[in-house]
Amino acid sequence: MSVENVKEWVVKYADELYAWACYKTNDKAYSEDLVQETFIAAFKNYASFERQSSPKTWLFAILNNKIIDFHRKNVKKIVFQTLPDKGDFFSEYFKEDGHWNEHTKPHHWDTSETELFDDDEFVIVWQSCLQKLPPTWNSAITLKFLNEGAAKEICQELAITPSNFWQIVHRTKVQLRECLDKNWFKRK
Amino acid sequence: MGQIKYPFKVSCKMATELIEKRTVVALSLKERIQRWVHLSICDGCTSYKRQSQFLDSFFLHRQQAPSFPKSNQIPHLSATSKKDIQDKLDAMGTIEG
Repeated sequence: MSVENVKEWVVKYADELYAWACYKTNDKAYSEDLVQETFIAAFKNYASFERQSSPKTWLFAILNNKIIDFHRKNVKKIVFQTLPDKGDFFSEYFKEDGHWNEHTKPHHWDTSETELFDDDEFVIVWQSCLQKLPPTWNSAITLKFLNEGAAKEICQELAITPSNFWQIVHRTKVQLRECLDKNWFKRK
Repeated sequence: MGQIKYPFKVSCKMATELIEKRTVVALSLKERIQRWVHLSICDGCTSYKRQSQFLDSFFLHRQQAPSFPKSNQIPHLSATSKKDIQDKLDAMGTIEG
């Protein structure tokens, strides 16, 4: 019976789904809801599952769609909020004339970048820097890389202006770069 | 003063903005020149550009190869939450069943 099967999937896959949702949304409370919704959707659509391959793949596909929706909703909020005052945010990084502050000016990163791809310690620093971003920025950058090369479509779909979008990308990258620089590259 | 004398001279803030803007929309001819002129004389922004590309490739990598750091930081769903989901499924099963 389908209820028993889906209940068994909860035991088997709930932790993995939850960890994935937390990682993708940086929001633990919301991730619990997403996992719950995933199992409920799986139960409701059980009939459409039966011919498919593995339950795990199917559950992750449902969850991933919900995660994308989460980011879309988040980015839509940008329209209704004004960006923090330009001077305020940027004064941490740039002098009044727009040139780099001495302590934030980028210097060459003396590391092989591909080695970092699978460096667990670096991934932890990366994650903690992402968590420091405002949630809407995090969602914007996530959507950007889910739809590589299709930024125009994202803007149209979400009804935000491209300038809103790239200004957020700019702030996100400036903040993220500085965070990694301070917490990783300058320490090594 | 620089504005009139050097129409293509921009600040680092503006240059980094153009570097990121370029990944979202096409730059105008003027913007392309501004970016190019600035990068040809500024070490800081040249490093920024390279590091920005690294961030992009790291984002893409994380998107495609989901691996969790091996640490005890991996979150687990509480037993209560799991029970809660199972109860909801039971309730739905009864209605449909």
